[in-house]
Amino acid sequence: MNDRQRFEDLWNDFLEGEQSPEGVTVLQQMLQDPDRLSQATDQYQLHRLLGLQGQGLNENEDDFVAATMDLLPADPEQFVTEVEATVSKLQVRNVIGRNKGNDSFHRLRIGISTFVLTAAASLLLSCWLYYGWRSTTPEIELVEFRGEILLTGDGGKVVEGLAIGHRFLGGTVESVSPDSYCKLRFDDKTTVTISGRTLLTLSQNGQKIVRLRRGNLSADVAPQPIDHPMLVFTEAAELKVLGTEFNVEATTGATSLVVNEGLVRLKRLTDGKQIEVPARQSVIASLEDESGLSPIRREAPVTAWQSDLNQDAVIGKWVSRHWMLGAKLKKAVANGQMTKSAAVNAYKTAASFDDATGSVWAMPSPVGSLIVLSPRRSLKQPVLLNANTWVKVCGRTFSKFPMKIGLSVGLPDGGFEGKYSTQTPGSEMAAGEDFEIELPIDRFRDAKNPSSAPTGKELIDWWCIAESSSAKYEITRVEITDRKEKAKP
Amino acid sequence: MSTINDQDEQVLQDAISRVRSGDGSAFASVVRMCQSPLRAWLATHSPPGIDPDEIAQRSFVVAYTQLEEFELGTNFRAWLFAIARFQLKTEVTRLRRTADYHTRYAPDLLRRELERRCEVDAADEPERLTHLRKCVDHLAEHLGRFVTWRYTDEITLEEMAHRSERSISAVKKQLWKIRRKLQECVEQRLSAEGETT
Repeated sequence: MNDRQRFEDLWNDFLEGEQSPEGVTVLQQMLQDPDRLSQATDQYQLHRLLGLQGQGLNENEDDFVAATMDLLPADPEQFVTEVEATVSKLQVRNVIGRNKGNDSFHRLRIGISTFVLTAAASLLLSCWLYYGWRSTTPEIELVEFRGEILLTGDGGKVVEGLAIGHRFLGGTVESVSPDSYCKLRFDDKTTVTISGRTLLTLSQNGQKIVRLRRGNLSADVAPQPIDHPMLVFTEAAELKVLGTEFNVEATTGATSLVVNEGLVRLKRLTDGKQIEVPARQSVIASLEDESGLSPIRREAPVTAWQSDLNQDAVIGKWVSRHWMLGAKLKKAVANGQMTKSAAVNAYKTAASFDDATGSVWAMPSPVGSLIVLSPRRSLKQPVLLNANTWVKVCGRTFSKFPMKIGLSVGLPDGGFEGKYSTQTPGSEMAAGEDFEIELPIDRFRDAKNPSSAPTGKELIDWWCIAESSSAKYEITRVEITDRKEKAKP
Repeated sequence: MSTINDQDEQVLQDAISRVRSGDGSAFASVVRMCQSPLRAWLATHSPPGIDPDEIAQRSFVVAYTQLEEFELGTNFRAWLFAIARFQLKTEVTRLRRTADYHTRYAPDLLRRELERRCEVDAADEPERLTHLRKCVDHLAEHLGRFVTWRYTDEITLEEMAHRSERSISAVKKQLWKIRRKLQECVEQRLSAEGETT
């Protein structure tokens, strides 16, 4: 392979998010050549433009406009300016009326002092109105967070150095990584917790309005005014909440709602169909499925789970074994290692209607290379973790790197509880080989709260992060087992 | 998608006036009219690791909060793009400070080249996007399908290789060639347009 081909190959890998750290180093050297840099940047820009066009820039215009309008702040300054202007006019009119008939010098002096007095009064009034308005306007407080949380708050300002106790009127909160979460509290004690990769917009201009663009939300809602219920919007559903506790997961095209306490009214946005979901029941509203919309009763928890990777992958790319075999056979034919008819025979022999075996490949992201699996997708029962729980992870890595394996857990009666994780050193992994890790539940810890444990909690999701976004790995199986239960005759 | 003509410009200025008179909802029209070129420009000038739509939204929010400073009758789009440039620069600076940014995302030289282009490129993305669409439409069927697979259906390279009965390496090469071809086509159209105007 010559230099040009090598460069094109590496840059293609880079555009596809498949570059290795070594590849980036080589590219860095190759891009010293100005012509190459120019070519590479052209390719990058065109790649981005094609992506934008392919994803329907015009088709998602309405969503973009609505989401942007949600971010706009209420405008206290405009309000203050209007009041200020009105008050100034009234005061000036009064003073001029009282001084009619005086000489011009006196009028001028009165005019100047009137101006000064009015300006001072207006300034005071503005301050009083602004701070009075600010102190009476309900705010949202950040009460707890872990990991990387981004907040675009009042006036569209990005909050740098976010700290517990930060208060804001409304905005967009993003939990960036599978191991991050944050809890927000409204003035009426309503709490909203987001966890994992979640994007949420909140406002409360007389009514709490929450837009869950993706991810997981868990809310404990204080009683709301009947005519102003809390509204939760997702891509597939609209929820009306008067006071209750519930969990919502929004993915592309589907919204899953679990009600722990009280009652939530859900409207499916594709057909406007509405249902009321009572306590301890759940429902899924999907953009694709317009059939029945009826709540399902929550079942008793189980203590074991074996992943159904095809269904459970929240983040990660599902690839079936059958598909992989097809790709391998094609490659073998192309390389002359096999005849076409032998490949077809091998493919037919392996083919079956059950194409459920396969693996999930990690996806690159700003926080690393990720896989997230949710047992809720394939299992009706919640998975309860206990002191005898073991977590088994099987997969394959293509280079040596440390991995963080974690669990997001909820309380048995609903609501988010926390994140627990354990680090697997890179030295335990062999590049290009299968691995199998078995971890007892006590290996999973919350680094900032070592005394807490995931036992007695319900599993929300399982996740795995490799620090480098170019780290390539696949997961072939994840299992939760109850060793005591298993030991029973 | 087309450039903003006089009539559109008038509608835009009217919407801005309404917002300044207190009708906040009129800002939706402003966002609608400007979102496409802004998002396209940001998509092509943001380095990896930055969500261009987020920067676009942030820019609109800043424009809204500072709308009093905008001089009616002047070019709103240019003003908005200046805000977006600044927002993008701020975000790039923030991201650059993260310890392993370059190993995670991008060669440093690409980021610098994009920053340079940010300063010199005109906000001509609506035309660029229109031309790109036409250029894609003019691609031969056997090439156009690669664009659809990769950018609309977002299928993996493995699947593309499977469908086209080629090796993954050949698919990568094909994509490179298609992008280069499209780049040339867009540049030709832009320069032809420049000559006629």
